[in-house]
This record gives sequence, C-alpha cells and structure tokens, in this order.
Amino acid sequence: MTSMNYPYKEDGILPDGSKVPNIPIISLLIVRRDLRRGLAGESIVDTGFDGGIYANLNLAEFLEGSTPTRTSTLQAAGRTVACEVFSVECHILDGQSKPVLSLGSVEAYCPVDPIDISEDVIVGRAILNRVRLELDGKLTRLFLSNTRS
Amino acid sequence: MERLTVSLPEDLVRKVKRISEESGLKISRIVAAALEQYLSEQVPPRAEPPIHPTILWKLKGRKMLTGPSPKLMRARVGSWRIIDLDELPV
Repeated sequence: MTSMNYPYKEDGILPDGSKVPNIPIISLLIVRRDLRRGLAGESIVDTGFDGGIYANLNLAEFLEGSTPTRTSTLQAAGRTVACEVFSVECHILDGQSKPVLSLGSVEAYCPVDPIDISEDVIVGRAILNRVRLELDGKLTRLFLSNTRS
Repeated sequence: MERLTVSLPEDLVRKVKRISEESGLKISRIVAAALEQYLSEQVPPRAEPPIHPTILWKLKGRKMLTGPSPKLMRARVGSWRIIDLDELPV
C-alpha cells in the first residue's frame, strides 16, 4: 500500500514558555483552469471543520475574479462566520509537490469579513473523510490505495 | 396628474372611504400618501461588490490585516506559491 508522509509543523511557543502542540498538515494544489495556474501549499488538517477548505488570504487572492456558488455561515468558537463558497479543483500533493490524488471539485470557504481570515489554509472533513489518513503526533500519513471517492 | 385604475379588496376600500370621510381628504390623496410611504420603505437592492471574493474588495487599499486574531502565538504552517500548469500537468 502506497503512503505519503507529511511531518507535523512546529506551532510556536506561548508567552509563558509552554509549547503549542505541533500541527498535522497536508499539501494541496488548487487549480484554476481559466488562468492555467495552480496554487500549492501546506494546509492544516482539522477534523473539527466540516467543510472542504477554509481559505487564507493567498487562496482568496488566487480566487479573485471567480464567482461564488453560494454563501454560507460557519460556526467558529461561538462566532458566526459569513463565507462565500467557491467550487475549486483540488489535488493532494506529495512531499515533492507532485500531484498524487485528484479530489475533483471541492468547496472552498472564503470569509467575507477580514477579521475572520486565517493565516493558513484549513482542510476539513469534506475532504478528510474521502481519504485514509493516519495521524500519530509526528507524521500525517496519507494512504493512497484505499482512498474513497 | 395621471389616472390609475386598480382593484382593491372590498374591506380595504371601505377603510379608505371611512378615512376619507373622517379626514376630508380625497381618496386619491390618501392612496398616494400610503404608496409614497410604502415606496420609501423599500430597501434598494444590495450592490454586488465589484470584486469576488468579497474579502478582497473589503481589503482594497489596506496595507495589512488589522483585525484581532483569535489565535495564540503560533507560527504560519507554510507559504503558498503559484504554479504554472504547463510545468505541472494535472
């Protein structure tokens, strides 16, 4: 069975000196066929997010000129976050930035209010539930042969 | 002045006639006032932002994000880069 490994990312130190738990990540490629361009980078694996992708500013800028398919709201830490939802073509990349799995069209949530923008792209269960992932505290391991669509 | 013929429910016509008799105003004047009030309360259709995603439109002109961040002292996970699809066929 083929698998890809993505080492967890360091998440910094708090002012009191304690270490923030490391972050599980996975590499994604978002494609815009109309521009013949893709946007590639690492995104946070967040099983608490039920959508597909939560955009950061890089992704929002990449989507400039696209038309949202709908609007929606998310609940985050007791707040309601208004979002525009874009359908985007998405692929998972391996550690060498080579596409290894096409996810087809997924929904990218782009917050409407600048206060809600995240520094990182977040990948949620709408994508995570379609692949087999193993999180062991050090590596995010993606298994390719048993993926489900 | 332009004449307009409309059909109204009977009870509404009765109410308008009663108000006309009590106030001494012409029915057309009462209807015009009611219409003016109704039209003034109509919310104009919300203008679509000229740019999508809307957040880019809201950030236009700003040099950096100024909103408070709910996160702690964490670092960014990684940078994102643009790739030419001619170099990376998918």
